[in-house]
Amino acid sequence: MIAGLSWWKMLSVVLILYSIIFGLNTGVPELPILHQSIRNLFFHVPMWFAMTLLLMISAGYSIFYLVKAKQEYDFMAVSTASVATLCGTVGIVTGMMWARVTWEQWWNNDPKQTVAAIGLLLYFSYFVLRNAIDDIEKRARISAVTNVIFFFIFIPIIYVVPRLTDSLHPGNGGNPGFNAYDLDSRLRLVFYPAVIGWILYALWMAQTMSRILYANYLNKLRVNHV
Amino acid sequence: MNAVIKLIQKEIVLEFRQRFALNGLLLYLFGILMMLYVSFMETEAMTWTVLFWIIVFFTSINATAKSFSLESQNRFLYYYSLVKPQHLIAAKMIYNALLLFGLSLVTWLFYSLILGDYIIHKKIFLLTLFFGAVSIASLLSLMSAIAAKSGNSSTVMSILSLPVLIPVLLLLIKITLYSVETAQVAFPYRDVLFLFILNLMMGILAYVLFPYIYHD
Repeated sequence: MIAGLSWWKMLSVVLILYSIIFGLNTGVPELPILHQSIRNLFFHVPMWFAMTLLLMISAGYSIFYLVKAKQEYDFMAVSTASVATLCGTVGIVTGMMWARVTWEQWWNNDPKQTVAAIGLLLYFSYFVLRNAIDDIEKRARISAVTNVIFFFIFIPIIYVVPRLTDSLHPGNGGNPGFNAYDLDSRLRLVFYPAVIGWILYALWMAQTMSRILYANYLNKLRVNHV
Repeated sequence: MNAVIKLIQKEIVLEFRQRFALNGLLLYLFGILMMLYVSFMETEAMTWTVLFWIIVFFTSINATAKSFSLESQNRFLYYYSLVKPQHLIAAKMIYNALLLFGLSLVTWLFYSLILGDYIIHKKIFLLTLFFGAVSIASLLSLMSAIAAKSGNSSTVMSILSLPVLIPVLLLLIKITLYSVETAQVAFPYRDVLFLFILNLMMGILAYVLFPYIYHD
């Protein structure tokens, strides 16, 4: 079983286990407000990295689909988008927990929380659109176009809008940030492996999902043919 | 360019032939206005601004929802043989922008009549309205083209357009606050610039991607 796994899948499991074990045990810098909750850095932040990368890949596959209409590209686009949305949801939930500990409330009027929620709403509407179209070829084409458009709306709103306003998030409005000063070497030693681990794990999930979708599609084709 | 102008003319002629759509929109607008009037009676500057844009947004979704679904599939096939798809989407966007600008002017007129007017920089607000109409039109024309291709277009239209419009709403409210009384804020250059870039991007995306939606 394990022997059949490719190296990057095994690496992802190893890195995630490492980040959980060492993330909960390593020494952390003493920062006001944050205290021990800084360990959430190893779980909350990688989710957003993984989401952004997967959405990029998803938009890439959608462009591939438009250039060369291969059904696999559509399945890859939808599965990366689904896993990215899952990462975003987990990111929002872990963020809310962190907000409860440090900012006293589950939901503050923080612009980053707001745009994250809007971004997720955008991608949920992409899935609703997919379900609304029955014809498989048409669904692939229309949703590829939508995915590309949404990606180009999503990136500016999630990375630019929060910078136009003051935020409670680290680095903004006098909060201790994770810049070059604060992110000390002990944190980095866990943080970067955690990011790589979760990204690889998310890619693995997306790959599995797209394979299942493709297998179902081929099965259906065969049934129709017989 | 000629084709685009001809297509816009065609849109206007169609709008006046089937007057139920425009009349329906105006009625919808007055309906929302009365609803807000009886529930608020009086407002303050911030609430006024937010409510104003929310009315404009919901009216715009209704106004643009039909821009692709009202005409039959056969007619699109006919257009396809005559003009480039890029011309078609450009014409729809320009026409929708003009329509929404007109509608938002009517909204402003009646809204300020019954709920008071908080605008001091009238010219800048007029520009904001125009800019807002262009942004909303460029986004919603594209969304309406996508929605028309999926089966039940009205549901999909509202699902697609609401999340897309939220960032535009945020920016427009911030820009409008500049021309409103009481609020003493510096001119929001960055928001204007960002909205402009968003519009430019939508234009480019529509130019590149619309042929894929359009062609069956």
